[in-house]
Amino acid sequence: MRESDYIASGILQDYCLGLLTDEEKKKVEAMCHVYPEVARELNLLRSALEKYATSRIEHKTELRRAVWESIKKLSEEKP
Amino acid sequence: MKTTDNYSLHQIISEPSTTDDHSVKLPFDTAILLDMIRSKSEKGFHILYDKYCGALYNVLIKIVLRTDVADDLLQETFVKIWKYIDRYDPAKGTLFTWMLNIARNQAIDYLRSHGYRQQLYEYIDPFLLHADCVGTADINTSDLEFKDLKSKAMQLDKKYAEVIDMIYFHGWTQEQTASKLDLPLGTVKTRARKGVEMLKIIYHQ
Repeated sequence: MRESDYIASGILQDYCLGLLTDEEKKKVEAMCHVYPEVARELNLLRSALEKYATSRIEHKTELRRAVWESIKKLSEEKP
Repeated sequence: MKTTDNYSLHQIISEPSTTDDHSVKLPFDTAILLDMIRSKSEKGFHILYDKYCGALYNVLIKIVLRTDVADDLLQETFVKIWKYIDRYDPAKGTLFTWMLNIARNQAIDYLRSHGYRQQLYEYIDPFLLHADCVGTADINTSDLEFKDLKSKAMQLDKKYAEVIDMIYFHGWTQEQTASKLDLPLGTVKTRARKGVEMLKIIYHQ
């Protein structure tokens, strides 16, 4: 398979979104080791998604609540 | 001495550029924030969280690569910050650097304790693995970068954003997403891939 076909297949996007099985993930990682162009593309996709997730973190209000709850629990344990 | 409660949230977290008055512009005051955390104030927590959750989350997700794990580690990071705040010494570096190191160490410990394959490290931004380099990031730069990330996120078309948010950000399956949005599964799969592709263009152009 040509690298460009592999990149265009959409499997790298699925990898980044966490949609692949362990078996499928290993295949993608193996491809990255053989083809630098595939690894480069994977890194670009992954870092874009990370940036996006980071920019959306404030929208996870339930997470903020959970963090504060754990902190409160901490001070109850050690007054 | 003024008590920290005399400062409004707005006063403390607002950016100089957003105030209309032309008098002396007050920079964000870390010393006030530090006092609030040391006195275990809830308001202090919210200011700290608003200010730094993005930067800390970014470090975590870069290392662990998964939003669900990064969520847990963000929680643990804030708990540690709270617990050990008295060990923070301003003479040794900024509060931001100190917190970044806590986040980074949490993430690396996680990888080690879960026996991640060595090859995973190859994908990690090398600077993240060296504590000294993290120290060069200063808070204003980080703020600015975070704002930039946010404005770019707005460029993603809503039809892709909702799919990416549900799958990647909230951990839904593609099937659940399709059912919730009342879309065919094939459409969800296509939009998920297209959405990631669009983000690559938005963030790397």
